[in-house]
Parts: sequence; C-alpha cells; structure tokens
Amino acid sequence: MLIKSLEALNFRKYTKLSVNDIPESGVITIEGSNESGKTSIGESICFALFGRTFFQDEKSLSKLVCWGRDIAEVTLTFKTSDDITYSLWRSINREGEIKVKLNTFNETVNIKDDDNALADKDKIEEALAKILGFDFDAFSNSFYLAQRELTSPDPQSFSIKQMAGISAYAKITDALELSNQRHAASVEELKPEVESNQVQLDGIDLDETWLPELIDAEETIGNEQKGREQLLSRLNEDDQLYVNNFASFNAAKKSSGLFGFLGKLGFVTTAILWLLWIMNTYYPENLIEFLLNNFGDSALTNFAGFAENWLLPAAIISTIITLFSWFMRKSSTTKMASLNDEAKGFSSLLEEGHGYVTTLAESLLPERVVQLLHDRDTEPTTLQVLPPREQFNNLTRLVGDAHDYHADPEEMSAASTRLIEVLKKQEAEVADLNSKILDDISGEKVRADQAGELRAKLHGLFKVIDKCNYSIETQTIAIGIMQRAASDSIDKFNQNISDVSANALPNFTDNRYSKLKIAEDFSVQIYSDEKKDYMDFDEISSGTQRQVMLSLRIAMSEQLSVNSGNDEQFIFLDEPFAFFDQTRTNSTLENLPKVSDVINQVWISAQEFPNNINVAKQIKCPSGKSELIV
Amino acid sequence: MSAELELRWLKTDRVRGAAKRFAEFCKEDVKSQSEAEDFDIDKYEDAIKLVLEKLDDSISVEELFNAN
Repeated sequence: MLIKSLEALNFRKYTKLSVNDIPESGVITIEGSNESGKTSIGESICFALFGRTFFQDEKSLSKLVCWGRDIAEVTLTFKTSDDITYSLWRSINREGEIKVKLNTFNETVNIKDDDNALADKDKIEEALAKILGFDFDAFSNSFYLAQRELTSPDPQSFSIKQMAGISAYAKITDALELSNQRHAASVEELKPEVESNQVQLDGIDLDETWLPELIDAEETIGNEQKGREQLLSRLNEDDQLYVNNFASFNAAKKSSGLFGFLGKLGFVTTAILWLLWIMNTYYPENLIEFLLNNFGDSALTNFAGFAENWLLPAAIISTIITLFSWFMRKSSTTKMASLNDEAKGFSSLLEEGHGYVTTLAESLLPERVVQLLHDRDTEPTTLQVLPPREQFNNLTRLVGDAHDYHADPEEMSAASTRLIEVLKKQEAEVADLNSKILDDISGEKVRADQAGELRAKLHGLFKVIDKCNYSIETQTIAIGIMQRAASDSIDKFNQNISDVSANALPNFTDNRYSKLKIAEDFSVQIYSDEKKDYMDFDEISSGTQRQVMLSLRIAMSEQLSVNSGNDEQFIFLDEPFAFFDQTRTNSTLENLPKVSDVINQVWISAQEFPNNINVAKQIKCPSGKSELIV
Repeated sequence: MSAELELRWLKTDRVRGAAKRFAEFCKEDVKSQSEAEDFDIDKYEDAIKLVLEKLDDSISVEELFNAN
C-alpha cells in the first residue's frame, strides 16, 4: 500500500495537518527539530490504520487529542496493489471513544453512519485486515520504525510469522488443533455410551439364526397342525364309510357275477335263435335238409310249428334279456369301482394317519428347537414319544386289504377309531406346541428389536466416532503439511532476508560489510571484508549494528509486503539515523530507495537532512506552530 | 509419477496469496510424502482442501462493503 494523502485535525500538536501530492516512490523526508511534530505524522498514519500508535496503548489513546480540543481525527488516503484507493477516517474523543469510516473511491460504498460506528467498526477492522494483510505488530516490526532502538522481532512472534507468510498456517493450525481436541473429547464422551450399549447388546446375546429357526419350526408345526386337522376332519366324516360300503360292495359284486353269467348265456341263446330265424327265412331248404338228416321228420314238424309262431319273438326276447344282463353287469361293475375308489381314499387316509402317528413330530423340527422342547417339557408328549407300536400293527395290513373290501369291517372300524383318538390327542399337543413356539417367536422378536435398536444406536455412535477420527486424522495431516510448508517458507524467508540484507548492507556501510548470516533466532553474523571472517553482532560498532538492523528491517518489510500481497509499499522510518555519522547517513539515504523493488515509498524523519540528496518530497515541521500544510 | 500424485485438480493459478503458496508447496510435498508406507492420497487431498478452504478469504472486502 502507498499513502496518497494524510489529513489530521487536532491530532497531537497539530490542529491541522495536511500532506497531499505524495509521490508513489522515492524518499519523503520529514525534517524538524525536537518537538516539531515529526513523530506525530507517523503516529497519525499508525492511528488511522490501526486505532493505536506505538507510544500510546488503548488506555492512553485520548492523549492523541490536541490539548484544549475535544476530538482528534485523521483521514488517510491510500492505494493498494490492486489499484483501489481507500479513504480511511478515524477519530477519538477525550473519553477515548473511537469512530471509524472507510470509503473506497470510485465506489458508492460509504460507511459513515456515526450512530452505528461501533457496529461498523468491526466490519471495517475486518476489511482493513484483508486490505492490508498485516496487523499492528507486524506493521510496527517492519514498515513502521518508531523512534527507538532498532531491534529484531521475536522469532516466535506472530509478526514474524506474518512476514514469513505463515501467519495463516499458525492460525489454521491453532484452529485445527483445537478442533482435534474437541473431536478427541467428543470421542471420549461417546465411549461410555458405546460401552453401555455394547454391554446391553452383549447381555441380549442375540443369536441371529435362532429367530429364523423358530419361524421355520412354527411354519412346520403349523403345516403339521393344519394337515392333522384336515385328516381328522376327513377321518371323522369317513369313519363309517368302509363299514357302510362293505355290504353294498359285496352286493354289487354278487350282482356283477350273476348278470355276467346271464349275459354270456343270453348271448349264446340269442345267437342260435337269430341264426335259425335267418336260415328259416332265407334258406329254408337247407335248414329242412339239415333237420331231416340230423333229427328226423318229427323234429322237423315241431320246428316248423315253433318257427312259424315263436322263432322271431323268442329271438327278440332273448336279445333283450342279454342286453339287460350286460347293462346290469356293467352297472354293478361301475358301482364296485366307485366303492373301491372310496375304499382306496379311506385307505389313503388311514395310511396318512398311520404316517402321522408313527412319525415323531419333533423329527421335522430343527435340532435346537427339539432341544428346547426337551429342556422345557418335564413330561414327554406323543410328539416326542411314539404311541405303542402294537396299536397300529394291523393298520398297514388293513390299508392294503381295504382295496376290494377284503378287510374285515369291524377290525377296520376299530383301527380307524384308535387312529382318530391318537390323532386328536396329538393335534391338541401340536396346537399347544405351536402356541409355545409363537410365544418364543414373540419373545425373540422383542429381543431382536431391542438388539436392533442398540445396534442402530451403536452404528450411529460409531459413525460419529469414525467421522471424528477421520477429521482428526485429516486435520493432523493438514497440520503436518502446514508445518512443512511453514518450515519451507521460513527457510525461504531467512534466505530472502539474508539476500536482501546482504544487498542493502554494502550500500549502507560504504562496502565495509558485504555479507551476513541470519540464524533461526535472528541472531546476526556479519562478514568483515577486512578480517575475512564472520563477526558476531556485538563485535561490531553500535553505528554499524544499527545499519545492519536497518537493512534487516527493510528486508523483513519486503518479505511482509510480498507475503501480504502488497507489490508496492510505504515504510516509515522515524529518526533512523540517530546514531549514524554524516557519511553513513548520506550513504543510507542515497541507497534506501534502491535496496528493494517493493519498498517504494520511504518516509524518513530526521532533525536535518543533507542538502545534496535526492528526495521525492520534503516535509518541514515548523517549531511552535500547530498547522502543517504541504 | 501417477496423475493422482500430480494433484492435477489443484490449480495454483486459481488461488492467490497464502493459498497459492500453499498449493504450490503441496504439489512438491506430495512427491516426497507419497513414498511413506502409510500414505493415503485421499486423506492427503482432503487435508489440502481443508487448509485451502480456510486460507481462502471467503468474504472479500467488496462483499463486506456490499453487505453494508
């Protein structure tokens, strides 16, 4: 930044101070005797920019107000590297109350609502921090050399970090370390909750496979129950079917036999009668000859009488009887088949029932469910112990004999009744078992829900913890990168400081000293061309020490300018030549504008300057006057 | 060197000031850091983005004026 103009009212000794037409480069001298107001000019710049000065802390700032006046104000106009001109106005009254306004030229923005000065002040300070790129400490350790001993800043100070361009790293590192601490604390805070939930989850000891097994078992038992219910229902309906059908089947069997015989007999008779009728009707000579040859005249006579009146009716009647017999036989056979089918159906029911009563229901269940049943039930049920086998010894045989009603109906009825009784008992037990398994499923579902909730909580907690840990990890990496970047910047900073200082030093010292080394703690060693060796800082004269420190100061200023984005920068040196002899003063003055490409505008105050130096602007502070307008 | 380690997504010409210096440093730093056994490029990139986000002045001076 370069200063374009400076206006002050009632500031320190000046009731009015006005410095205009300030050149952007070159040396601007501020000349005057003691108490003439040279330092006040530097203080006014400092106050405008930061609301404080090197000599006045916040408590004593009201001393900046000119004696006998109520309020002091300073307006500083400056230009930044991006070619924006700002007008910064700041005032302070006797109570130490500060107001500030910031304008930009060529912009309509104007923060000057005095009633809201305090609120605006924060915004302006934020804007200034961005515009300037450095704070007061960095400013006072570089661009503003107060009237005091030249010293180097603390290498650990924030201003050095700003100069080296690592202040942002320092701030971010602090923020990330704080964030890491918070994340770590959050993780620690969550751990008891995680442990508590984990203990509860472990307490539930949920076996993920148990509920599916129970559901499978319930489904199996349910199917078993349904099958038994259906079987029992059908057995109850068909209990007496075999007995009832037994007589009908045997009657149909007899009828079938009888009509079968009659059908065969009728068929033969009908065939003979129809043959005789055909022969008698169409071939009578042949028939007569046959009868005469085989049976004689009397047989022929009898046949002729029969044939004439009865042969055709007899053939027709015989045909009808034969057809009726066939029909009746077919009807009986059909009925037998139907009854036999019913017998087979009943037989199947018995066979199915036999299967139920001779198969352990628990054999259908998963092993662990069976074990549960054994552990739970004090007395084994028929589901676990088969009924006495002898009860159903004859059932298999009866199932086979039921076909064609070979089995004895009474024996069949007794077996069916026993089977129904056992099945009924088992059905009740299956229903009871199913009810218990449903209870188990219900209980297991509650436990699974509890476990699910706990797992969801744990999942959420682990997610937060993972996020925290990832943040810690990433932020730790970020801190590491910044540390390396800072170290790299510091190396470059030290090298640049050494280079710039070494460049300035021969000019300042009339080529008596040309090299210097700067350690990390900013301790300085200077190479003496006379002694051909490096000398410690305290081995050289105080005048040379101040020249060295001045060159160091300019080098640091250049670094701060570059790292804060200021391609052009002013520097204010308040009486830097206090311990310089005339030769050194002249040499330094002559070379100051040349030592840096960035430090263009050099403000220097002194009681007097040599006449033969080139200056861009001269400001002469009059003794005893309170106004200065240049 | 793989494209991943060139950090091609990191455009040094799109950032300024401290962010630019940091981005330029990272382009060099990743080469040496990637030789470590436990190096994780994803975390390294996340770390860079985190720092760049903080280095970038999210509110410009102009925005501060306009907000007023």
